[in-house]
Amino acid sequence: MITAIIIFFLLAGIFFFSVGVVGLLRLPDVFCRMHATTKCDTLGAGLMLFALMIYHGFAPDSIKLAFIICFIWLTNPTAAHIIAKASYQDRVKMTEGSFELDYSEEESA
Amino acid sequence: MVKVETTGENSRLKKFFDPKIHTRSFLGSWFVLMVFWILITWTFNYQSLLAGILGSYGLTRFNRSLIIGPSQRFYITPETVFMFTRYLGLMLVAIVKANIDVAKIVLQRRMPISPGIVKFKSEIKKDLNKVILANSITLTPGTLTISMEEGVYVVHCLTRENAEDVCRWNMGEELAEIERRGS
Repeated sequence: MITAIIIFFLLAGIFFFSVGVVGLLRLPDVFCRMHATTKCDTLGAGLMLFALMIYHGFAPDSIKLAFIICFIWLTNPTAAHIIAKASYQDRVKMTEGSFELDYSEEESA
Repeated sequence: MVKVETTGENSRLKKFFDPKIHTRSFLGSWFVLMVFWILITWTFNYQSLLAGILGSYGLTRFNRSLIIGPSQRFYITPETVFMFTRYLGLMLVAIVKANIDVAKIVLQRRMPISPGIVKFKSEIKKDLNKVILANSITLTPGTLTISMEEGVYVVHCLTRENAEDVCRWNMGEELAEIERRGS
Protein backbone atom coordinates (compact mmCIF):
# COMPACT_ATOMS: atom_id res chain seq x y z
CA MET A 1 0.00 0.00 0.00
CA ILE A 2 2.70 2.45 1.04
CA THR A 3 4.73 1.43 -1.99
CA ALA A 4 1.80 2.34 -4.23
CA ILE A 5 1.56 5.81 -2.67
CA ILE A 6 5.31 6.33 -3.05
CA ILE A 7 5.20 5.28 -6.70
CA PHE A 8 2.24 7.59 -7.31
CA PHE A 9 4.04 10.63 -5.88
CA LEU A 10 7.28 9.81 -7.73
CA LEU A 11 5.39 9.49 -11.03
CA ALA A 12 3.58 12.77 -10.40
CA GLY A 13 6.93 14.45 -9.72
CA ILE A 14 8.39 13.04 -12.94
CA PHE A 15 5.29 14.22 -14.82
CA PHE A 16 5.66 17.81 -13.60
CA PHE A 17 9.39 17.80 -14.34
CA SER A 18 8.76 16.64 -17.90
CA VAL A 19 6.06 19.30 -18.31
CA GLY A 20 8.70 21.82 -17.22
CA VAL A 21 11.13 20.60 -19.86
CA VAL A 22 8.46 20.57 -22.59
CA GLY A 23 7.48 24.10 -21.60
CA LEU A 24 11.10 25.25 -21.68
CA LEU A 25 11.40 24.00 -25.24
CA ARG A 26 8.05 25.17 -26.56
CA LEU A 27 7.32 28.56 -25.03
CA PRO A 28 8.35 31.61 -27.07
CA ASP A 29 10.42 34.05 -24.96
CA VAL A 30 12.56 34.39 -21.83
CA PHE A 31 9.78 35.25 -19.41
CA CYS A 32 7.44 32.51 -20.57
CA ARG A 33 10.28 30.01 -20.34
CA MET A 34 11.00 31.14 -16.80
CA HIS A 35 7.43 30.14 -15.95
CA ALA A 36 8.01 26.58 -17.09
CA THR A 37 11.42 26.13 -15.49
CA THR A 38 10.51 27.56 -12.09
CA LYS A 39 7.26 25.70 -11.84
CA CYS A 40 8.61 22.23 -12.44
CA ASP A 41 10.92 22.73 -9.49
CA THR A 42 8.25 23.74 -7.03
CA LEU A 43 5.90 20.83 -7.53
CA GLY A 44 8.13 18.27 -9.26
CA ALA A 45 10.95 18.35 -6.74
CA GLY A 46 8.46 18.84 -3.90
CA LEU A 47 6.48 15.72 -4.75
CA MET A 48 9.57 13.57 -5.29
CA LEU A 49 11.12 14.61 -1.99
CA PHE A 50 7.74 14.05 -0.33
CA ALA A 51 7.72 10.48 -1.71
CA LEU A 52 11.16 9.95 -0.18
CA MET A 53 9.84 11.30 3.12
CA ILE A 54 7.04 8.73 3.10
CA TYR A 55 9.59 6.03 2.29
CA HIS A 56 11.67 6.91 5.34
CA GLY A 57 8.73 7.29 7.69
CA PHE A 58 9.18 9.42 10.80
CA ALA A 59 12.97 9.53 11.00
CA PRO A 60 15.72 12.17 11.08
CA ASP A 61 16.15 11.71 7.34
CA SER A 62 12.57 12.83 6.73
CA ILE A 63 13.16 16.03 8.67
CA LYS A 64 16.23 16.80 6.59
CA LEU A 65 14.20 16.18 3.42
CA ALA A 66 11.51 18.55 4.72
CA PHE A 67 14.16 21.22 5.23
CA ILE A 68 15.37 20.65 1.68
CA ILE A 69 11.81 21.22 0.40
CA CYS A 70 11.54 24.42 2.45
CA PHE A 71 14.81 25.80 1.15
CA ILE A 72 14.02 24.90 -2.46
CA TRP A 73 10.67 26.70 -2.15
CA LEU A 74 12.37 29.74 -0.66
CA THR A 75 15.33 30.05 -3.02
CA ASN A 76 13.60 29.06 -6.25
CA PRO A 77 11.37 32.16 -6.57
CA THR A 78 14.26 34.39 -5.54
CA ALA A 79 16.51 33.07 -8.30
CA ALA A 80 13.67 33.30 -10.83
CA HIS A 81 13.04 36.89 -9.77
CA ILE A 82 16.69 37.87 -10.32
CA ILE A 83 16.83 36.31 -13.80
CA ALA A 84 13.53 37.94 -14.78
CA LYS A 85 14.59 41.33 -13.43
CA ALA A 86 17.90 41.20 -15.31
CA SER A 87 16.08 40.37 -18.54
CA TYR A 88 13.51 43.10 -17.91
CA GLN A 89 16.14 45.79 -17.33
CA ASP A 90 18.08 44.68 -20.40
CA ARG A 91 14.84 45.08 -22.38
CA VAL A 92 14.87 41.58 -23.73
CA LYS A 93 12.32 41.42 -26.51
CA MET A 94 9.03 39.88 -25.58
CA THR A 95 7.01 37.75 -27.95
CA GLU A 96 4.71 39.60 -30.34
CA GLY A 97 1.27 40.52 -29.08
CA SER A 98 2.26 40.80 -25.43
CA PHE A 99 -0.08 43.06 -23.56
CA GLU A 100 0.86 45.59 -20.92
CA LEU A 101 -1.62 46.55 -18.23
CA ASP A 102 -0.97 49.23 -15.65
CA TYR A 103 -3.14 49.36 -12.57
CA SER A 104 -0.52 50.99 -10.36
CA GLU A 105 -2.13 54.44 -10.59
CA GLU A 106 -5.47 53.25 -9.28
CA GLU A 107 -6.21 52.80 -5.62
CA SER A 108 -6.11 49.05 -5.28
CA ALA A 109 -8.07 46.93 -2.86
CA MET B 1 39.21 56.05 -3.67
CA VAL B 2 36.11 55.89 -1.52
CA LYS B 3 36.61 57.07 2.01
CA VAL B 4 34.88 54.83 4.52
CA GLU B 5 33.09 56.83 7.13
CA THR B 6 33.86 55.56 10.61
CA THR B 7 31.99 58.11 12.68
CA GLY B 8 28.66 59.86 12.31
CA GLU B 9 25.07 58.73 12.20
CA ASN B 10 25.06 56.20 9.38
CA SER B 11 28.57 54.82 9.51
CA ARG B 12 28.99 51.14 8.86
CA LEU B 13 30.70 50.52 12.18
CA LYS B 14 27.90 52.15 14.10
CA LYS B 15 25.32 50.10 12.26
CA PHE B 16 27.23 46.93 13.01
CA PHE B 17 27.46 47.60 16.73
CA ASP B 18 24.01 49.12 17.03
CA PRO B 19 22.80 48.43 20.57
CA LYS B 20 19.20 49.16 19.70
CA ILE B 21 18.57 45.70 18.21
CA HIS B 22 15.28 44.31 19.43
CA THR B 23 16.27 41.89 22.21
CA ARG B 24 13.35 39.52 21.73
CA SER B 25 14.08 39.24 18.02
CA PHE B 26 17.68 38.39 18.89
CA LEU B 27 16.62 35.69 21.34
CA GLY B 28 14.03 34.41 18.87
CA SER B 29 16.58 34.04 16.07
CA TRP B 30 18.93 32.28 18.46
CA PHE B 31 16.14 29.91 19.49
CA VAL B 32 15.14 29.15 15.89
CA LEU B 33 18.75 28.35 14.93
CA MET B 34 19.03 26.13 18.02
CA VAL B 35 15.89 24.19 17.07
CA PHE B 36 17.25 23.80 13.54
CA TRP B 37 20.51 22.43 14.96
CA ILE B 38 18.72 19.91 17.17
CA LEU B 39 16.52 18.76 14.28
CA ILE B 40 19.40 18.16 11.89
CA THR B 41 21.72 16.52 14.40
CA TRP B 42 18.89 14.58 16.09
CA THR B 43 20.71 13.92 19.36
CA PHE B 44 20.39 15.28 22.87
CA ASN B 45 23.98 14.56 23.73
CA TYR B 46 25.25 17.39 25.98
CA GLN B 47 28.33 17.97 23.85
CA SER B 48 26.36 18.46 20.68
CA LEU B 49 23.84 20.67 22.51
CA LEU B 50 26.66 22.85 23.85
CA ALA B 51 28.21 23.18 20.41
CA GLY B 52 24.77 24.11 19.05
CA ILE B 53 24.18 26.78 21.69
CA LEU B 54 27.58 28.37 21.11
CA GLY B 55 27.37 28.10 17.34
CA SER B 56 23.91 29.58 17.06
CA TYR B 57 24.82 32.38 19.48
CA GLY B 58 27.83 33.23 17.33
CA LEU B 59 25.75 33.20 14.17
CA THR B 60 23.08 35.52 15.55
CA ARG B 61 25.67 37.79 17.12
CA PHE B 62 27.71 38.25 13.96
CA ASN B 63 24.66 38.65 11.73
CA ARG B 64 22.88 41.05 14.06
CA SER B 65 22.35 43.60 11.35
CA LEU B 66 20.34 41.05 9.35
CA ILE B 67 17.91 40.15 12.14
CA ILE B 68 14.35 40.88 11.09
CA GLY B 69 12.79 43.11 13.69
CA PRO B 70 9.12 43.98 14.19
CA SER B 71 9.47 47.11 12.08
CA GLN B 72 9.78 44.83 9.06
CA ARG B 73 7.42 42.00 9.89
CA PHE B 74 4.14 41.33 11.68
CA TYR B 75 4.19 40.72 15.42
CA ILE B 76 4.12 37.05 16.41
CA THR B 77 0.98 36.41 18.40
CA PRO B 78 -1.15 33.23 18.51
CA GLU B 79 -3.62 34.89 16.13
CA THR B 80 -1.09 35.84 13.49
CA VAL B 81 0.63 32.45 13.75
CA PHE B 82 -2.72 30.74 13.17
CA MET B 83 -3.56 33.01 10.23
CA PHE B 84 -0.13 32.50 8.71
CA THR B 85 -0.44 28.72 8.97
CA ARG B 86 -3.79 29.02 7.21
CA TYR B 87 -2.11 31.20 4.59
CA LEU B 88 0.51 28.50 3.96
CA GLY B 89 -2.21 25.87 3.57
CA LEU B 90 -4.15 28.01 1.07
CA MET B 91 -0.87 28.66 -0.73
CA LEU B 92 -0.24 24.91 -1.13
CA VAL B 93 -3.70 24.39 -2.63
CA ALA B 94 -3.19 27.35 -4.98
CA ILE B 95 0.19 26.00 -6.13
CA VAL B 96 -1.18 22.54 -6.96
CA LYS B 97 -4.24 23.93 -8.76
CA ALA B 98 -2.30 26.42 -10.84
CA ASN B 99 0.45 23.90 -11.63
CA ILE B 100 -2.13 21.65 -13.26
CA ASP B 101 -3.45 24.63 -15.24
CA VAL B 102 0.01 25.43 -16.62
CA ALA B 103 0.60 21.76 -17.45
CA LYS B 104 -2.64 21.79 -19.43
CA ILE B 105 -1.56 24.92 -21.35
CA VAL B 106 1.88 23.57 -22.18
CA LEU B 107 0.71 20.14 -23.30
CA GLN B 108 -1.98 21.41 -25.68
CA ARG B 109 -1.22 21.25 -29.37
CA ARG B 110 -1.48 25.00 -30.00
CA MET B 111 -0.62 26.68 -26.76
CA PRO B 112 -3.39 29.12 -25.79
CA ILE B 113 -1.09 31.71 -24.24
CA SER B 114 -1.40 35.49 -24.30
CA PRO B 115 1.63 36.63 -22.31
CA GLY B 116 2.10 40.11 -20.95
CA ILE B 117 3.06 42.35 -18.11
CA VAL B 118 0.81 43.81 -15.47
CA LYS B 119 1.65 46.47 -12.89
CA PHE B 120 -0.33 46.88 -9.73
CA LYS B 121 -0.06 48.42 -6.32
CA SER B 122 -0.36 46.61 -3.04
CA GLU B 123 -1.26 48.12 0.30
CA ILE B 124 1.20 45.94 2.22
CA LYS B 125 3.74 48.09 4.00
CA LYS B 126 6.32 46.00 5.84
CA ASP B 127 9.32 44.61 3.98
CA LEU B 128 9.10 40.94 4.90
CA ASN B 129 5.40 40.77 4.04
CA LYS B 130 6.09 42.29 0.64
CA VAL B 131 8.74 39.65 0.01
CA ILE B 132 6.34 36.90 1.08
CA LEU B 133 3.70 38.16 -1.36
CA ALA B 134 6.23 38.46 -4.20
CA ASN B 135 7.50 34.94 -3.60
CA SER B 136 3.95 33.62 -3.41
CA ILE B 137 3.17 35.22 -6.77
CA THR B 138 6.22 33.60 -8.33
CA LEU B 139 5.50 30.20 -6.79
CA THR B 140 2.00 30.19 -8.22
CA PRO B 141 2.41 29.05 -11.81
CA GLY B 142 1.31 31.42 -14.52
CA THR B 143 2.61 34.49 -12.73
CA LEU B 144 6.17 35.68 -12.20
CA THR B 145 7.24 38.71 -10.20
CA ILE B 146 9.71 40.74 -12.25
CA SER B 147 10.28 43.64 -9.91
CA MET B 148 8.80 45.16 -6.81
CA GLU B 149 9.62 48.70 -5.83
CA GLU B 150 7.79 50.82 -3.28
CA GLY B 151 4.74 48.64 -3.32
CA VAL B 152 4.35 48.53 -7.11
CA TYR B 153 4.59 44.98 -8.36
CA VAL B 154 5.56 44.25 -11.96
CA VAL B 155 4.25 40.78 -12.78
CA HIS B 156 4.61 38.76 -15.95
CA CYS B 157 1.61 36.57 -16.71
CA LEU B 158 1.20 33.64 -19.04
CA THR B 159 -2.42 34.36 -19.92
CA ARG B 160 -4.62 37.40 -19.73
CA GLU B 161 -6.92 35.79 -17.16
CA ASN B 162 -3.92 35.29 -14.89
CA ALA B 163 -3.21 39.00 -15.14
CA GLU B 164 -6.76 39.94 -14.22
CA ASP B 165 -6.69 37.52 -11.29
CA VAL B 166 -3.38 38.49 -9.79
CA CYS B 167 -4.37 42.14 -9.30
CA ARG B 168 -7.14 41.25 -6.90
CA TRP B 169 -5.68 38.06 -5.56
CA ASN B 170 -7.21 36.93 -2.27
CA MET B 171 -3.79 35.91 -0.91
CA GLY B 172 -2.66 39.53 -1.01
CA GLU B 173 -5.70 40.52 0.99
CA GLU B 174 -5.01 37.71 3.47
CA LEU B 175 -1.49 39.03 3.98
CA ALA B 176 -2.74 42.58 4.42
CA GLU B 177 -5.18 41.29 7.02
CA ILE B 178 -2.38 39.50 8.90
CA GLU B 179 -0.37 42.70 8.83
CA ARG B 180 -3.30 44.73 10.18
CA ARG B 181 -3.86 42.28 13.02
CA GLY B 182 -0.20 42.00 13.89
CA SER B 183 1.02 45.56 14.13
